[in-house]
Amino acid sequence: MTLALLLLAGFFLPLYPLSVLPNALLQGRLSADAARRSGRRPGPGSKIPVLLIFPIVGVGLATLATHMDAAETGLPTLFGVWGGITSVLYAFRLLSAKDGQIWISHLFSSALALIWIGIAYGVDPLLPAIGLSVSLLPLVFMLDQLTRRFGIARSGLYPGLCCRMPWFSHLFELAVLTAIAVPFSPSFFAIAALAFGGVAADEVVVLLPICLSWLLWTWAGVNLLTGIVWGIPRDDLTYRDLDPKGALGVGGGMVALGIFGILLVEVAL
Amino acid sequence: MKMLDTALIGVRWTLYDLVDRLYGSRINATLNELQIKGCMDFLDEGQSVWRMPGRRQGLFRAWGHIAKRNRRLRLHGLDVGGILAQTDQPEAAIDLVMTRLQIPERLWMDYFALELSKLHGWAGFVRWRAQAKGYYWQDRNPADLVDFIAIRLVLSLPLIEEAGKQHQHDFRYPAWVRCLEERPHECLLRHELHSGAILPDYAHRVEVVLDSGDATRIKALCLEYEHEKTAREAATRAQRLQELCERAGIPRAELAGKRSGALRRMIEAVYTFRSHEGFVWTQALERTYIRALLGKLAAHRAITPDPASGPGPGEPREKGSDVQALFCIDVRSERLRRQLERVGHYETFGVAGFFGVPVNFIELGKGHETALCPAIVTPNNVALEMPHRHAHGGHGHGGHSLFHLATEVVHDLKGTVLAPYITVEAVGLLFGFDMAGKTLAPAAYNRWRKTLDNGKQPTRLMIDKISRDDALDLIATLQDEMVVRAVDRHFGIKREAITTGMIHELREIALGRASAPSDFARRFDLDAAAETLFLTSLRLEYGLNPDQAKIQLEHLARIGFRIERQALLVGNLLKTIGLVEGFAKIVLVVGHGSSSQNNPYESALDCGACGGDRGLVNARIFAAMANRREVRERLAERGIRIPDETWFIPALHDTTTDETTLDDIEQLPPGRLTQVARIQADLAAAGRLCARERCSELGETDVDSSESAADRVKRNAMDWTQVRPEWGLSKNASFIVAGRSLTRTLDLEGRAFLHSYDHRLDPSGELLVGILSGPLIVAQWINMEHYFSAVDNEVFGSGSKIYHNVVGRFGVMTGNVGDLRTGLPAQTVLKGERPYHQPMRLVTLIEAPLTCVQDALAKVFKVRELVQNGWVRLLVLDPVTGCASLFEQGRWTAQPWPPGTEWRIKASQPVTAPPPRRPRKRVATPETSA
Repeated sequence: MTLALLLLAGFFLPLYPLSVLPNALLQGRLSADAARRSGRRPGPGSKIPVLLIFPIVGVGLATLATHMDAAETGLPTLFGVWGGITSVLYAFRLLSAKDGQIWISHLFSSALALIWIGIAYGVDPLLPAIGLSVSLLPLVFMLDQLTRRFGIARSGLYPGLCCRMPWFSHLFELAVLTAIAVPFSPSFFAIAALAFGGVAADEVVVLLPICLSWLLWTWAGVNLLTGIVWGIPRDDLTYRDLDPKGALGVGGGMVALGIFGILLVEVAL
Repeated sequence: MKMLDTALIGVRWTLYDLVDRLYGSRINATLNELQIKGCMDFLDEGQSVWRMPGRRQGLFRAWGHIAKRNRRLRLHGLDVGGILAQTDQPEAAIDLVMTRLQIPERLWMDYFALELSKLHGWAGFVRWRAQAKGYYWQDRNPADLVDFIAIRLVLSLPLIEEAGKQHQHDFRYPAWVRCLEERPHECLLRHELHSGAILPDYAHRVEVVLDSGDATRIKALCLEYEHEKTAREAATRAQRLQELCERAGIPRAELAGKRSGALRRMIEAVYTFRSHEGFVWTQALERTYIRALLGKLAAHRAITPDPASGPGPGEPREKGSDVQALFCIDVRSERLRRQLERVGHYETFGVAGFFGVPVNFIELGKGHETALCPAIVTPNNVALEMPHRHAHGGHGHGGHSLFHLATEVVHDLKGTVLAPYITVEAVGLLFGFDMAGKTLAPAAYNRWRKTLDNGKQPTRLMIDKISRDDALDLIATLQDEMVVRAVDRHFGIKREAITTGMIHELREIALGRASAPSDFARRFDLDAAAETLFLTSLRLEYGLNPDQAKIQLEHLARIGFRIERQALLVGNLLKTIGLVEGFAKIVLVVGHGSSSQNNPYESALDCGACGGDRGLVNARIFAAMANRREVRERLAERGIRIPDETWFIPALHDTTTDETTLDDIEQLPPGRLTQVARIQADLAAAGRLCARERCSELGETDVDSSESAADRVKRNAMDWTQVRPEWGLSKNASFIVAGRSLTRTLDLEGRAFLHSYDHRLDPSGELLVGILSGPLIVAQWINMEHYFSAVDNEVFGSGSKIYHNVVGRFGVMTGNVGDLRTGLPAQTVLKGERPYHQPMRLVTLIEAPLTCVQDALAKVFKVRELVQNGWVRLLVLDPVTGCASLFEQGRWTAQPWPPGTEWRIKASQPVTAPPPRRPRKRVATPETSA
């Protein structure tokens, strides 16, 4: 029963290969045919429930399992190692991802897989899970804005947006930095909570995947920014920047996220 | 959209370019990185502590020696060992690779040109180095373009083969031709996808279809894509055309009407204009400038009395007017000349800043020669800097020695491999202080640093020839010294044990002028074999042989100038600028240089006529020559009589701070010191006024007085974070060859090279030929350097300084691995995103009869080519006819030039005859007129 619960949780807090479900949902593969038939482009609304509900369900299932007799079987440790490997694997794949939807889904899988480390070593996983998933929300919105403008959110197709869409570029950069857990984003405090909470139990199993994944996220983030924000803009495309009011709205949302991150650290750490 | 053309393979694309463009690989970038690293290692000129071994064998062999053992290359899948094992000849390696890639021989030259253009900065440097005569590093570590191409091809072969294995394709030339012919749609879609030109919303579909490999689907999608892209491009162009027509006042209805033909005419007009649009704007800019310049000159002429009038012969000069100053033609001298003339009664002249003295200079304490002359001149003479007095046992300047010792120790520690780890702990804090001082209070910090460093000791320049006897004596003394050292080293015999006669005899035997055995051998019981061995050592190891003696004599023969040559150089210069009589009591010879910190482009701010160095040495040499009694005697024989009371004083104009410092004042007669003090005050005042102008150009705010402006520009010179200490020669636009009377008091905004010239002193036109073939060429180079750097700073310039790194002590590159940058940085020619320098061709204005200019042009092929091919705009103000003529599109055209009637009448007197001897006339300034 415990094993079944933990495996079921593996669909929600992604564990390779169970991560196929959240990846498919976040990449819109399941809804692609329906969208093509209806002629409507799927918006970010379909991804938000996955980002917000999956971690909570996963944490709930895992907590339930650990409250049973999982601790005695040593299963959580095993799942912790599995989570760490999954995280590094997806972080590594993130380096080659160019499509925005694939990028988000891989980062989600890599980030949420780290929660298993917290579960394995007694760290309360709920707030870190929420912190990691919520940090992806701004980027989901910004990638949707790119899709609206260019038909696709993809790195390398329309470089140099900083020269043509400065408002958007500022916010996009902030969104990417928030997603890859730079300091003062909720995800940063989330991985800090996981690292500090579990390090006493096992330095290698806890710190190695967290540090490695974090390093790879940063690298991938720079790649994404290089392919979209920096570079020389194309002249054959039409560019439409965010209007200042919209930009201020999204910026305000990001500040709220930052405040949430600080609250997170107050509670979790 | 066009399909990819097979004829462009090897002409526009290398084979790996096609792999990159059609398969999204990064072979080009990898290749560039590997080649740059190889070049950086080999071409290093002393920056690295651990140097590449085997460099004397040449670039290809030295690189190959390392590459064969480089495991990192193997990790990249680059096994170059196979090729390098077959040959170590670059030519053979090239042949091998080109044959392996099956590139037809008819394309080889195009292919090589393509390869060279990939890293044109590095290729250009290697080419320059290979052709530079007597370039030390090239002589020591030879490299040429064949080596360069060979390395690139040898590296590219395994990369192409590896990519072929990865994508399971043959990437050799014939396979590419087949691919482009048989699968054009696939190639086109691949090219669009990976070259970054694809319509974004098609990217995913194209990728999926290409992955499927289904030729039918690929073709269908390609046709759809072509249609869509063409339609979108057409829509964008139509939109732009409509906007253009609206601006041109053509109503939309007329444009849409088929009968009017407005649309067709508009499209034709756009296409016709597009082909020469850039040139139209350039011409417009130049004409605007020429019109404004002529207008200024005409207005000035109208209010200025005839230059031929003024104080007559024997009339006393005005009080305080006894100073003349020779400045460089540099555009930055224009401001100082104007302000100096405004501040006091100064007469200024413009001449190329090496003052007609091409010289190789050996600075005190340095062992190498620096050519202080334009790059087109090769100097034959050497000037040595000598101390006024010798330091005593190395402890003459306690503070000086201690400070320099500390600096050298820290520098050496930084250069070793392990020491920095310890040094950081030990003295790292000192660097922190240094950084804080330089950043937060650069002016005060630099002043304090100067107090630690006692500075350079007073020196004098050795400019006179050594007589042959003196030279032979000097060589003999050096040889004797060598003999003493050799005796000590070989036999442990000290100087006191041997006599001068023995030393001389040993020297003579070594040189083959006497025969063994020597007294020395007899005195110390040396057998014949030991003596022969010692003499051989003297000849080979210590250079005591006739060949070496001859070389030393030749070197010594280059030092200094003969008196006749000095007189010739001084006389030529004075005649060129028209200063042959009416000498003032003091003549300043003002060279120029710049001051900046942390600036690899510092020499671009120094004097171009001095080979990118400071002009003070040339000024000192010229002044020293002109002050010599023997020189003046010879000049007098040629009709240039410099009065005994006239004294030439060298000076240095710092173009960053606009401070001018007089030099060699200690050699002045005491009676002149009062006048010198007043001149120094005038120069300081003029400098402050220039600083104010400069601050305005630099966009400095809160500068409300000339004093605060002077402080601000001084800070710029000392601030290591300052990327633009001064604008340098940016905005240069014209080269005016005329008497100062034409431009005196005119504000030329620091945009004109001013060369003094009086056509009346040059009936044969030789002086004008000299000006055209020297200073004009240099000015044109400078102008073109700025022109191209402003037109496309990323390609012809060097981009932003912020990202530059000095490489190998010979160049800069952007980032840590990149092409060598050429041209000027963005901070020199751009202000923000807009060009500060107005890109236009050099407007050369000559005040002389048109026929004289035409004759001079006919004699100088290089300049004639520049003028006739439109690289220089030539404008002649003919004082005889009073007409302005512009050379345009192969002929002379008259320009609107409102002449001053009075001037015209007087000037129209015949001037072809040799000019009469009369004192120089002074033009009254508005100040004095008032």
